[in-house]
Amino acid sequence: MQILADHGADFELAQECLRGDERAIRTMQERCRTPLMQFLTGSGAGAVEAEEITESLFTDCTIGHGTRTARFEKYGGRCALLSWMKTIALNELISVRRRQATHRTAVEMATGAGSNPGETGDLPFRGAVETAVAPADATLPVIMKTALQKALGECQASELVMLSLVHLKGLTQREVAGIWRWDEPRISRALRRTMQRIAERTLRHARAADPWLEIGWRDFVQLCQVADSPLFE
Amino acid sequence: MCKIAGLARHSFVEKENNEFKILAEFLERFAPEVVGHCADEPPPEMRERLDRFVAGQCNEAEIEAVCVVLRTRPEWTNWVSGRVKSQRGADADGSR
Repeated sequence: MQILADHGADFELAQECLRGDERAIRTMQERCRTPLMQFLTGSGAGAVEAEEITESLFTDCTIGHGTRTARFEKYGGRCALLSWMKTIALNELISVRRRQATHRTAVEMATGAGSNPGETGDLPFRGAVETAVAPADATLPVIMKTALQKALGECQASELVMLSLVHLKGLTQREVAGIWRWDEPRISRALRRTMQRIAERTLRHARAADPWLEIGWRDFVQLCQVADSPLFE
Repeated sequence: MCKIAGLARHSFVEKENNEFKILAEFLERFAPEVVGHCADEPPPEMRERLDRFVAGQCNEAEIEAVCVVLRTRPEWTNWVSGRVKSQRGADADGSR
């Protein structure tokens, strides 16, 4: 199977973890812990928060909970295991942020209504809280897709067609230069400039949707590779 | 020195290439089934415009106009790239 051939070793490691092989679990954790925590702190998580998410992810990946199977059951080796885990970790961070935002909204509403949530230890009322809207209620792939589509929508048609002809359709920059009647270096600069703009605008739109989302372009592209809906179930 | 610069440039182009492809594939996974765009072949009057585009005979405004059309009918970029690629052999023969 081609998919497995790409990241066969990672797939094997995940399978061994699922079988409860302690050595494999230790290897996976040692390999992924530091990059995952660095990725999460780079995405706006605090150190303790990053550690909690990472450790919880390690457990979720190898052990099922109730009706939910171990997450590694869904890993098919299509991408690197670390990239796959980063996506789940980032999605978890987003969920944590949303829960915090919803809680803050609820507390503000309760305080505004004359209650002191601190005294009751929990949210004192339900009605309005249940309708409170978190800053962004879309899943990570939807935020990413919307941000990217907006960024592409801000490009000129010719900029996108040029990128498509070179990077998707396999034309050489020389051939595209012939169409535009430009020299090759100018085509090269135009392609680079458009990609830079797409990157900047995409990240800006993503942050507008979730202001604390502080992922870099490299991470964004890496997440695009693995952002499949089954990951986020 | 030139060789090193060439390699660096090559890896940069490869990286960009991969990035744009990854982004395109990511969006494709979200795309709904396209209905009504069965014909990959542009109609004759459009083919004429696209041929001028491929031949480098369009001015800046015409290029932008053609690209606006190609953006709404991305399947026609296959036709465009096919036309360019079909000339590869001819160009090589002509330059001999």
